[in-house]
Amino acid sequence: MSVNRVTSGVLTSQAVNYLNNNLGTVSDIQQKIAAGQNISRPSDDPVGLVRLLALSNTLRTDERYGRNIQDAIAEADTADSAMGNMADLVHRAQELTTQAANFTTNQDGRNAIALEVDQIINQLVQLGNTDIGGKYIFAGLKTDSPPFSRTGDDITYSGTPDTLAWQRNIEISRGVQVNVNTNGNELLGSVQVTTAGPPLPPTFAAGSQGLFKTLIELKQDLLAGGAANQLSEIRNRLDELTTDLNTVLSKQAIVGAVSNRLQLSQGRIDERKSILTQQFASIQDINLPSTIADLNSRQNTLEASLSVTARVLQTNLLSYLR
Amino acid sequence: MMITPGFFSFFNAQRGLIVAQNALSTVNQNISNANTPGYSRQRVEITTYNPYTNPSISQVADGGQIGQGPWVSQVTRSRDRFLDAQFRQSSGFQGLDTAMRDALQQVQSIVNEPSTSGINSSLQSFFDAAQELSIHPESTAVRTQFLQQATDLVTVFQQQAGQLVDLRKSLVGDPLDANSFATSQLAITATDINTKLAALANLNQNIVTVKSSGAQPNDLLDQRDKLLDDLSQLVDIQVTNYDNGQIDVLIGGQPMIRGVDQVDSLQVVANPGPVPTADDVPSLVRTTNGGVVLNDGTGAELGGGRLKGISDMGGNATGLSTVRGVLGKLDNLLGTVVAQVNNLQAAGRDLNGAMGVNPIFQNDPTLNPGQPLNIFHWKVNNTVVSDPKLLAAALDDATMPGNFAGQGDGRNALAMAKLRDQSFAGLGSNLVDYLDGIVSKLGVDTRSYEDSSTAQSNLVHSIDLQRQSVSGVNIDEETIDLLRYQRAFEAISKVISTLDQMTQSIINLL
Repeated sequence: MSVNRVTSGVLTSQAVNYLNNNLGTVSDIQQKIAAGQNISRPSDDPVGLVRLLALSNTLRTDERYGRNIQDAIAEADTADSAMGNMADLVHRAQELTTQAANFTTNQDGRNAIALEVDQIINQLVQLGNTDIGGKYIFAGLKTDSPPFSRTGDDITYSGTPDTLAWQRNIEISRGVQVNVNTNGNELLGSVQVTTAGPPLPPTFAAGSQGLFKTLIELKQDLLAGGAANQLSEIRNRLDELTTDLNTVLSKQAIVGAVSNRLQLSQGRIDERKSILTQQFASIQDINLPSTIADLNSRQNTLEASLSVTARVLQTNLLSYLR
Repeated sequence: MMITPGFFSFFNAQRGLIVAQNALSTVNQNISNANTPGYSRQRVEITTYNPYTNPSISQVADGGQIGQGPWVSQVTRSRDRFLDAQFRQSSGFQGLDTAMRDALQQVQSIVNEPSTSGINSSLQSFFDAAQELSIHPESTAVRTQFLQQATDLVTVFQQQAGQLVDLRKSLVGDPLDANSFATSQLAITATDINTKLAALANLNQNIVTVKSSGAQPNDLLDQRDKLLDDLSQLVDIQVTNYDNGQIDVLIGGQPMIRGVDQVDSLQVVANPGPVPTADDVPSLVRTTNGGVVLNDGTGAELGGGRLKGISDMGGNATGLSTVRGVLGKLDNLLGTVVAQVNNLQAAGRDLNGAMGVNPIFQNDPTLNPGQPLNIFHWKVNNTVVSDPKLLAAALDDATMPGNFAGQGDGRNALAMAKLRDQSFAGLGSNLVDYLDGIVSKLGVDTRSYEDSSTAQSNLVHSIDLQRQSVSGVNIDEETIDLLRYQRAFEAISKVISTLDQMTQSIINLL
């Protein structure tokens, strides 16, 4: 500012003021470079801060959703592979049934086949009890205990029945939930034998259905020996096995679709993350080359003002009076 | 024309010497005080001495008057009263803005956002843990993790709240600590003001005495102006000048100094008002004798200055991120989280299938006793911490046998996780946005006071430069005066020696 009458006090206090201002600017820039970020405190840039907070909140939630998706994918993949194995076992059962329905197979052969069917049933029970770290994935909401148990020819399903809410949902983005589990009862069914055959065809309690019922019935048919319409019964089982296989395959297809969808969501989150991170950096990260250039120019100003001050403050009339 | 008496010119020259010596000693005073704060350059006002009129026979006065040399009529100081008034007003605003800025910056560093260790981060981690719980409700490790995050959340809130209370205590005192009122910045500033008022009254007395003797008390006036400058930074003052040199000083319209008497002073006392008023304005600034309260928002008020800044930030400056304001908002935020989570806990079923009868968060008044806000009393229920199975992650589902779907049911935990994005009437937004609102408001407020205190400092500085331009000492100017009066002294000495020779030659004739 211009002053009419310059006094020594004016000179010194102006000099101190300018030096302080220049020094303050240099120290601000230094701080930014040291911290490596533009906004360390809200007041550094209140407008930028609002965007920064919104971005970091979104990044943070996305990170959580990403972990949810990974969990869901792990479960879907485990279920997918378990169902793949189930389908293989049903295929084998179909082969065995075809073989058993052949006129050339005698009762000894059918007994041997029945034995193998029994083993298949055991393996299916095992697959139905698949778990991830103690979490039984086909048990609906009762994930803490194995859903299937076999006693003789009775196979019970103790998970959440398909008539109740059995879905376990995982949130993969705000307000979007994905059902990750498959109901074991729908998938494999259950069976309770009321009167075992042979010689009469076996009868089952109400509610017995699905793959397990077909296989138990098949096993009893195979062991029936010379019962009247035994072969046609076995052929009936073949049709039922096809229906049951379709059930397993369609459930597997659903899990596969869910897994695909989850992969896509993960991809979207990753993509969004790279965009948001870029935006975040554009607000928060300092532009190092330009900041350093700025620092240099400010430092020059500071040095210039120091040298000017040193010269001006030395000058007065007394220096010239001798 | 009459002949002047023979020794007449000696007296003339003598006056010239005295004036030159006076002028030189003023130059000396100016140069010596060139760097004294508040010093005003002094000037000798030189006039001609009353001229001598020769008597004559025909008339009382002859045609001409003979000059009797110079005389110092007065030593004045260069001072612009208008600039002084401007300076004091700006200085008051500077004091106010700087005090506000300092306190806001402290609040800002307590709230500590954006960071990875603040409330935002803890809040997010808590809801992340709720998500994890919704996916793996049967896992004890996940349940323990959830409770750990809940404890962290409460701890971070309470740490910040504690620091805010400490800050307010150091600014204006705390009702829980009776001694804190006397040691608060508010009280210390008030004491400083009182000391300056007493010194002003004393100076007033001296100035009036000197003035009444006809002299000009320049240096005392400088001291008084300096005191008024300093005082105006602390508190907004109104000054009335009188012809006899005395001044009256008023604060908030209340007379503090009347002439030579200090009639009142300021004191800081605990607010006797009922809660929640006591929360908002914990201490009152009032006049000791008049008993007029100057910071309760009614009637006479402090206009500006550091005192008002401290009182506003510690008390209830509506619309600003005051210490108490931020504390209240954090209390509201934690209160909402706690109430909502507890509601869901009570409505859900735990890992054993029983209702969640044990709340996750408990209000324990023995924690930080006496604090009026609940933010200090929340803690995570020990019963639940020691048995994480009691967390109600499952829904109370009437369609299920025993209303319990199973240990894999994390639907209630998912409802807890979803609280994060839910909008609440008490907050006007969701939890995270509410917190971000607090932080960005704080940023805007701090920035605005940073800017305005810088602007006021610049203004004060520029007015001060103008003042120094009027009142400051210029060494070059003084050096020239020094030479001028030195030469004058030499010239008059020469006149005296010439007069002496003339007289001598006359005496030698005798």
